[in-house]
Amino acid sequence: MTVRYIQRVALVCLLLIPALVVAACADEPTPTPTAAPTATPTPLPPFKIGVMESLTGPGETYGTVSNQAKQMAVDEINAAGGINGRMIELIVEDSKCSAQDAITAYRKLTDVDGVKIILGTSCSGAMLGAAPLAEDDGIVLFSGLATNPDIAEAGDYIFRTAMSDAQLGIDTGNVLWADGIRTLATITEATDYAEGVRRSSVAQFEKLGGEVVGAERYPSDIVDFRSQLTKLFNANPDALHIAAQAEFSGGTIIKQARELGFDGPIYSEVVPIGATALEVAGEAATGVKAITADLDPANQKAQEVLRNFRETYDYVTLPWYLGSAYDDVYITAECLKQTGDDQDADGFRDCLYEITWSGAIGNNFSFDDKGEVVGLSNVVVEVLPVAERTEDNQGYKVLGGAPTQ
Amino acid sequence: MSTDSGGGGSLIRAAREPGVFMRLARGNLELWANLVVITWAVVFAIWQGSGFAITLGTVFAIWAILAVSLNLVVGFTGLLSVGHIGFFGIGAYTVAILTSNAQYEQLRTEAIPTFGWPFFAALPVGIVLAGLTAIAVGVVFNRFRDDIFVLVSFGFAVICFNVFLNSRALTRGAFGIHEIAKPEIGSVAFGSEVAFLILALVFLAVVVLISWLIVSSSFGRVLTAIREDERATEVFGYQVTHFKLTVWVISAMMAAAAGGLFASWTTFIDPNSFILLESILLVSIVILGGLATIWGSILGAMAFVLLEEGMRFLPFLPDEYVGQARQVILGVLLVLLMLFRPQGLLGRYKL
Amino acid sequence: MVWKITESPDQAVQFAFNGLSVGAVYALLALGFTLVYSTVWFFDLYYGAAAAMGAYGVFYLRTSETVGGSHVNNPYVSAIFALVVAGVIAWVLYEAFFIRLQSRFTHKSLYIAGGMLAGATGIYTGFVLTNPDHLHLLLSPAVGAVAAVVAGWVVNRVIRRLFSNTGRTTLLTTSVIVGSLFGACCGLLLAGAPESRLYLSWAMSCLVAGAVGVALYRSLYVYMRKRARSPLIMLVASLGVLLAITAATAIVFESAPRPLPRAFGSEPWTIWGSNIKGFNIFTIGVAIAGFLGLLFLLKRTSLGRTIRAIGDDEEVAKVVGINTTVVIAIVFFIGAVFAAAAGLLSGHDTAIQPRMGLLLMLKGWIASVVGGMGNLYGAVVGGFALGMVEQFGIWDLAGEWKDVISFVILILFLSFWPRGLLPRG
Repeated sequence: MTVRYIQRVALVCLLLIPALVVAACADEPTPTPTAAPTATPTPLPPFKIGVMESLTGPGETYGTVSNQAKQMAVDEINAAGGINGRMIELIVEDSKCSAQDAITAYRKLTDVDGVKIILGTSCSGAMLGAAPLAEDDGIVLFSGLATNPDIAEAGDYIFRTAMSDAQLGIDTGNVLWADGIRTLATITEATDYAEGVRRSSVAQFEKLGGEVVGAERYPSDIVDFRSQLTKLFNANPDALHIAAQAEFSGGTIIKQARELGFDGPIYSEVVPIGATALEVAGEAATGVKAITADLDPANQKAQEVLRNFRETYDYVTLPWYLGSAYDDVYITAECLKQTGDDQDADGFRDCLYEITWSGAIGNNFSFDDKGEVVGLSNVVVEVLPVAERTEDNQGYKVLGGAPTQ
Repeated sequence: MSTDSGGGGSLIRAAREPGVFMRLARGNLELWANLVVITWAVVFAIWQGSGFAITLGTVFAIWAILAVSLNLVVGFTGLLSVGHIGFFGIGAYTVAILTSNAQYEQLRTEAIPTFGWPFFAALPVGIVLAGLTAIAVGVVFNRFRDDIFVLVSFGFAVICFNVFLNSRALTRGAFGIHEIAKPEIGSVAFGSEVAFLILALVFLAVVVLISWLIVSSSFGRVLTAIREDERATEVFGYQVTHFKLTVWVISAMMAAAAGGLFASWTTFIDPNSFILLESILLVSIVILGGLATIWGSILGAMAFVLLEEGMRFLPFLPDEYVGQARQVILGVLLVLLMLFRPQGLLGRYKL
Repeated sequence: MVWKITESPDQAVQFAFNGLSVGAVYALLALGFTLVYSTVWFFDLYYGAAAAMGAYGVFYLRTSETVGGSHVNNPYVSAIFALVVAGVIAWVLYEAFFIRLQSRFTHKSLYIAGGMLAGATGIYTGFVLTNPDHLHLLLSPAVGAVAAVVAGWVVNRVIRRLFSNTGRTTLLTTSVIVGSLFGACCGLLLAGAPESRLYLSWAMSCLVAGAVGVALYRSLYVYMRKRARSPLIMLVASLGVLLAITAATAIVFESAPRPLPRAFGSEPWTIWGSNIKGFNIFTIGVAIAGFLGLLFLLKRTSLGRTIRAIGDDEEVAKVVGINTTVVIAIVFFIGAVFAAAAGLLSGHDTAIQPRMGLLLMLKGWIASVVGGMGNLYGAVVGGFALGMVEQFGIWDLAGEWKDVISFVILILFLSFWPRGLLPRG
């Protein structure tokens, strides 16, 4: 027994020593052949920008859309000659809507690819996972979609064009109260995004005098909500509020709520009125109200982006978030034009603090001292019957801005 | 108990004899397994450069601790447990909760109690807690064997996962715990990746040493006897349940140590790291590497980690499918092993 | 608990309905599971994969009607299943006809004929799988043929019963004519009914899942069972199968949950102030029908007697001349069909995801332990009981503790009543 183990240890050492030697030697000679100075002017290397979106998992629909919008913006910029002659290259990693995977993706982007500017993530949970690391390492994390209020406090290098749920919550609470809702039941996916929406909405609703008579939370991978919904409806709420991370679960909850015979109004945020969610829910979704950001039909830039996106990818969903991701790339390009260096995270950060931008999602918006976007607002929308849903109206009609108290 | 010598031994013997390549060509599976995995590890380390290799090294060390500790139960004692990930989770969550940073946590959605302990104070607590859980669970599970034991150990994994997910006041449920402290001893902090790798390897070494002491002692021989014939061992006057319980608890404590390391290394944990599937993967690593062999488990963990990274370079396989493709390969390997080599690659005991 | 129920009877009734709907799926799973386990005495984890395959089979064949699954139809996947089906058919032909025919034909010609027949079936299967939009057209000849054979056989039996003095030729001609007419009618009806595609896809995915079960048994477990010291070998091998199939499903279909196309009965019915979907009642019906069918098979047919004989003692069964390999293969087929049916029913009720197989299998496992391993009555009782307990157990707890409740029940039962509610007789 003993002899065999000693032999094995010896074997490992034996094999590791040459490996270490080779590793030590290999580090030095590698740069020589590639970096040989040549007389001819080589084209400048592209700006390398990291992208973390949830291409799979609960956030796959909007993660994919925002990745495609970014790719489209980059293609436009590159086709127009790049930034001062330098192209932009996106290095995409899948953060899967989970903090764990966001950390893995972040390590890969920074350790292996050496990027200093990362656009993403699509999900608040992923954002909160990677943000402390980015803040420590001094790497800019710039999201178009993550809305959890906690992200405001995440640090100096953390920016977003998505509006914080703090505002969304106030709007939702006001809408509920104005519609005569006095008792509310909430069902919420246990993720940072959905919880952020629920928390801020309920806070405003209770401040106005409403009462929450039931609150259930569900993990991302369940598909049967009937027992939770049964318990909620037993408390006889005036309305149901849904906050979901995945379009699939949002749509399924609406469907199962109606199947259980609930006929009160349903309120939600953007995810349960996405294209996939509406398809899953079908006719059950008719009349569902959502408080969300929506592109302004009068905004030329926004309509142009939507048109181009439809031409390129043959579909459109969650238009505001698509526009937000698109604008992020142009803001990034503008700041790269100023700093001229994709490794200069500090310069890039300072540029973001200074910038005022007009793009698809609005005019003259900027970032405050917490990296939060200011100058944008939400609207209330209502889902149309199946027969009236088209690709152009995204299945819902805009009722107008959210009421103020 | 079927094969004659270990991979290391045969390699050295092969090197001493003149016809090395002849022997290689004749194909000794153990030898090949060792050679391929270790060469691939070395090549990979050189190819990817130190940064990524260090990250992978840490992942490997954590898996290896888990695999070696599980092998004590599965390989040396013959209890096929699929619930090991539960103990891993208990260690991870204890460390996470005890070291969690009050300043950061109070900003967050759901407040959990914060203690702000240093890592090395929290880890023993986690290990002890896992040990206590293992005693409680082991007393109940001791009466089961073979496939019924597998079934209840499935249950243990599922219950642990749900406890992590649903005890929101302690674990913040699906939101996970952020900002878990890095280990520090006095003024020496293991903040950097290299330092952490060394720490993880030290833990691995300790676990291997303890396991080796166990299996080469008389205690270990009783375990082997239990595995071969539980009734007969009982007839000889050994308290079989005590032996089984002891090794079960030791193994659980090792897994908890790995969990603590894992939590501190990733700085964020949520219940998804402790799902049943991870446990099944762990069992496949142990069986793949070989039952009742410590080195086999280490090699199995190494192969497991490298397999995923290796497949990233397959041109036809998109990145997001790598994890799944690795599962397919593991599954197929398990089937093949059960058909042709039920003891695993380096194993000495057939299931 | 009683006090709670009287306090809010509406919720109690609703929970009972939910429990029955879920319990029906568990009962189906437990039935198939207990059948397989009490015959071969090892845990076949492929059972979970079969449940997922049943559900994903429907998804695969009906993607055009499904949300978010536009491009899953994949020639490689179809080819693999076509190969499996061809292999199973080849083996079935060999077992059924080879010995009977080898005195009349040479081995070579038998091999060639069998191979061609199996190959043709495989190609046909592949063709069906790659053209799911014309499922009703493509399957109509097969369904027609099956209907013809069945009708012919029935006519034959009836005539023989009623007119015992009919000549052999008349008998044959009548039954062939009636059978083929009936088969042609069925085929034509089917070909003109595109709305039957969903239900054809149910049958198709159940059959394919069953074929894979048989293939696994014949190509793996037969050899393992000959040499294995303990049932763990087969368990680990089937664990590998489960891992591989689950991951492969996730690669082909993505790992996010998906809905299945809408079947009938998604409108809620209100009974006693609570709601239940028509489809759930259908599921309960399927579970009861499956139970009765299995009961009939085991208690009233000679095949059932051989199955029970093998379960009691395989060696003895072999000695008395039962072809155990074939009988066990049939058991695996039936088991996998039950699993697939349970998977697709629960998929229609809620949604499908690649991991669903493992969870469903564990629930079926628990239900059969609770009911009593190896007892059909126990499987049904256990399934419904588990569904009910899961629902009522979360009355005071949050809904997420459902899985914990079922596993705690499992451990309690194994510790104190290891033989279950209704022990095997």
